[in-house]
Amino acid sequence: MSTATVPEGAFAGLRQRVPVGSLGLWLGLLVLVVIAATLSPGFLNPVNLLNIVRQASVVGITAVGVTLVMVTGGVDLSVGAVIVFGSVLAATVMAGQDANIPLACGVVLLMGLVVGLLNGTIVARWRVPSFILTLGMATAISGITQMYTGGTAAGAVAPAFRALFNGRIGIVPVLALVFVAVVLLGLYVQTRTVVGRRIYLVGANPRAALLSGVPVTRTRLTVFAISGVCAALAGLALLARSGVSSTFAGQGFEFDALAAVVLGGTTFAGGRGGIGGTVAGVLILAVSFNLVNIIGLPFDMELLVKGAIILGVAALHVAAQRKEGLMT
Amino acid sequence: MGPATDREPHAPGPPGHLDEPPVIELRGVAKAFGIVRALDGVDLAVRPGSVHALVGENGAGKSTCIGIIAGVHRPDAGTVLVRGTPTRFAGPAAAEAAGISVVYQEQSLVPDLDVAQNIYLHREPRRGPFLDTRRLYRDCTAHLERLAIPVAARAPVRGLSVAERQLVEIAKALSRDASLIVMDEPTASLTSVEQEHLFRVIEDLRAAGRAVLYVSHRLDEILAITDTATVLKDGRLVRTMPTAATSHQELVTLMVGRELVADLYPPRPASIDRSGPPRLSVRDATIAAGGQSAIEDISLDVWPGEIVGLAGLIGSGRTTLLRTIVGVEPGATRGVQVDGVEVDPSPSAAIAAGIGFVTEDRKLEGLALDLTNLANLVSTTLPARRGVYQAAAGRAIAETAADRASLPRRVLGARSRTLSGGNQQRVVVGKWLAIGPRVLLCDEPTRGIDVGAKADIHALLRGLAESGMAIVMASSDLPEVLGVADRVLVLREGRLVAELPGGVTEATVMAAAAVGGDTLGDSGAAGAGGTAGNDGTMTAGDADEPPMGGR
Repeated sequence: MSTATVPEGAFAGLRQRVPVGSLGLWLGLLVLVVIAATLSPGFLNPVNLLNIVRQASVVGITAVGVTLVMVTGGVDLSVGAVIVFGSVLAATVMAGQDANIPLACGVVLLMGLVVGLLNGTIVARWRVPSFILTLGMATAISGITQMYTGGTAAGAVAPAFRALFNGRIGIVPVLALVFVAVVLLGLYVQTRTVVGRRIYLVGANPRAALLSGVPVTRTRLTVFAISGVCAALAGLALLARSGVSSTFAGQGFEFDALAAVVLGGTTFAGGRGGIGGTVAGVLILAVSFNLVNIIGLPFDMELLVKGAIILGVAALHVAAQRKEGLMT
Repeated sequence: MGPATDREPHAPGPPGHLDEPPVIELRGVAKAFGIVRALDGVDLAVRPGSVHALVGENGAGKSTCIGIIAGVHRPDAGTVLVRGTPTRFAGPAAAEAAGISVVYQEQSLVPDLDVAQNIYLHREPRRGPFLDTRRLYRDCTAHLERLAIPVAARAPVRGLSVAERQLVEIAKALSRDASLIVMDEPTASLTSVEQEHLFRVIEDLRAAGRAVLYVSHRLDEILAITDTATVLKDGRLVRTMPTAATSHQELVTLMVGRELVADLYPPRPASIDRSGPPRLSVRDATIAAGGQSAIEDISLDVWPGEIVGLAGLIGSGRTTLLRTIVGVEPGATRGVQVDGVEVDPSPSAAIAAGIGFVTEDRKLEGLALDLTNLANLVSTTLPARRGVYQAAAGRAIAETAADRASLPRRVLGARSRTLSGGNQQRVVVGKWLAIGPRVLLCDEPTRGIDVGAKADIHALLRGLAESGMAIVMASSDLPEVLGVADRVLVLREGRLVAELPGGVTEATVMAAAAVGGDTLGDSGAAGAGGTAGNDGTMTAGDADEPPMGGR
C-alpha cells in the first residue's frame, strides 16, 4: 500500500502541539516587523508594540469568534453591526454613571448572545446560507441602532469604564490583556474541548459528521453564539478605546475581521485553519497599518497597502498549500 | 505517420487493427509527485479495435497513467505518442482534441446542471450565437437511448444516484466520438445488469475500431472483456500480455507480488447464535413520501454472528434501507431494535445502541478528508470529561481501531486525503469499530479498492461476525455478497422480494432482483457468465440451511 504521509519530525510535532497555523504567516509578520524596525527605530519599543496589540484588540476579539464560525463552514457578517450596537448600547445604559458599568456590560454581552443564537438557529435549523442571513442581520441591527440613537452619538461613557479598560497595568494595556485572554480561551475551546473537535468535523464534512453522531445543529448554534458574544465584547473594547459611542465607528469591522481570519489560513470551505493563524493575520494587518503610519502615507495609500498585503499573503498561502500537496 | 513507427515486440493483442499504430503509446514514462515516484519507466500501447486492461493495486500508478494520457499530468521523462507521433499535451483540452475521452472514477459532473447539459458541457449545439436547447435534448435523448441508459435528459444530476451518475459519465465520454476511451473503474458502482450493458457497449466500440483502456479491480471483468492486459506495480511495468494467456491467479500474483490464498471466499464456520433475540430487528421500515428511492414495509432480523447480504439493482432501496435503520432518512417510519431494545431514529441513538454504519461513499459521507486519520477514527466516540476532550483516551481509541482495521499506526497523524482508497476504507471501518458495535451496517464496503485490501476487509467482516456481531452488507458485487454472506436478502423497487441462503447461484439472485420476467433469463445468465471465475468458490454447504429470519 502506498501511503504518502505528512512529513513527520520535530516540525510536524511542534505544529500539532502548538496550533499556530501556517509558519509562513508568522514569517511574513517577522518580515513586516523587520521592515518597520528598519524604517523607524522607535517601532521595537515595547510601548509601541503593546500599543499595536491594543489597537488590534477590537478586530482581534471579533476575529476569534468569526474563526470558529468559519471552521464550521459558515461565515458571520453581522459582527460589525453587533460591535457598533454593542458600544452604543453600553454608552446609553451606562449614562455616564460608574454604578451602571456591570449592568451595561451584562446587557451588551446578552445582546451579542441573543444575536448569535438567532443567527445560529436560522442557519442550523432552516439551512439558510449564513452569508446572506448574517448580511441581512447586519443590516437589521444597523437599522435598530439608528432607531435607538436617532442617528446621533448617544449615551455617555462612565469615567471608571475608560479608566479601567483603556488603562494600563504597568506598561501593558488592559485591552491587550483582554485580547490575549480571549485568544487563549478560544484556543482552549478549539484544541481541548469536544466542541472544538466537532467544529472541525462539521466543517470538513457535515454529512460524515452527522452520521458519526456529531450534533451538527447544536455545534453550528454554539459557534454563532460564541461569535455574537465575541463581537459584543469587541463593542465594549471599541467604546473603551474611543471614549465616545458613534454609530459609524464600527462600519467595516466585519471585513477587517474576515480579512484577518482568511489571511490566517481559515477557508470559506471550512474544516481548516484555526485561531492560531487568525492571531497572525490580525497582527499582520495591525503592523502593516502601523507601518503605513510610520512612513506617513495618506489614508488612500493606506488602503492600497492593506490590499496589497492581503493579496501577497494570500498568494504565499496558496503556494505553501501547493507544496504540501493539498491542491493539485 | 509513416511506416517507420516501430512495433511493440510484445503485446500482440489478438484482434484489432495491428497494422495501424497505437492510438496512444507511452514509452519510458516517469512521473513523480514530490518525493513519491508515481510512475517509473512505464511502456503502454493501446491499439485501435482493442480493449486494453490496466491493472494494479491502489497506488500502483494507474491513475497517474490515466492522468498523463488525459493531459492532466505532464510526464517528467519519456514520450507520449498519439498515432505514432510524439505529442506533448498542453492540457486536458489538447488530449480531448486528439480524440481521447476519459470516464473518470471521480465524479466529474456538475450537480446543478441536468443530464443533457452535462453530457454536452462546453459543446452545446448552437443556432447562431444562441443555444439550440431543443436539439440539445433531442440529441441527448437519442444518445441515451442508443446506449439504452435509463436516465432522462432533463433530470438534474444532483438527484441521481452514484450509479446513475456513473452511467451519465460513460454517456458523456462516448458522446465525443473519441478514438480512445479510457474507463477508470466504470463498474465500481454498477450492478450486474448495468455492467452487462456496459460490456455490450464496449463490444460495439471494439467492433467499430475504437480503442478502450479499461481500468478495473475486478479481475473477472478484465478476463471476460479485454484483449490485452498491462500490470503495474509500485509505478513500474510488471508485464503486458494477451488476456487470453493469463489467469485470475496470475494477475493477482503479478499485482500483489505475492500469492494470495487461492480461495477468495473460504467457507466460514457457523457462528450464528439463534438462542436469544435477534441482535438487529427491523420492522416495517417504510418511507411513504414516494419518489424513486422509497422503501416499503421492509422487515428483517439479523442474529449474532450472522452476515446478511443485501442485493438488488440500482434504486432498489439498499442504501435507503440502511440509512433508515440509522435514522437519517427524513419521513421514514420504522421500528428498530438492538437486542430487543428500541432504538430512536437518530445517528447518536444508533451509535449509543451499538449500530455502526460503514457508508457507501468514503469522500461524501465516510471521512472528513482534510482532517487527520486520528480525528476521523475518534469522530464517532470523542471521549470527554465535562466537555473537555480527553486526548490520551482518544489516541488510545484511534490506535486500537487502527490495529483492528489493520491500518498502520504511523499514518494516524496524516490527513485522510493522503491515503489510498483501501486505507481510507480501513479508516471508515475503524471509526465504526471504535464504538464497539453490536451491529455493523456496510454499504459497498469494498468499492474501488484493490484485491489485497478487499480480501482484508472480507476477513475482517468474517472475524467480526465470529465474535458475535450482526453484519448487514449491501453490495453490487454479487460474488462478494454470495461469498461473504450467510443469507441474502434481495430488494426490488423498495420491497424485500426474496430471501435466499448464502450458497445460491448468481442467476437465482439476479432473477429475483431484476424487474420484469422477460429479462430474467438474459441478465441472470449474463451475470453468471461474466464472473465465471468465481463459480468454484460458491459453497453448496449452506443450501440445506433453512432460510431464517425475515418475518
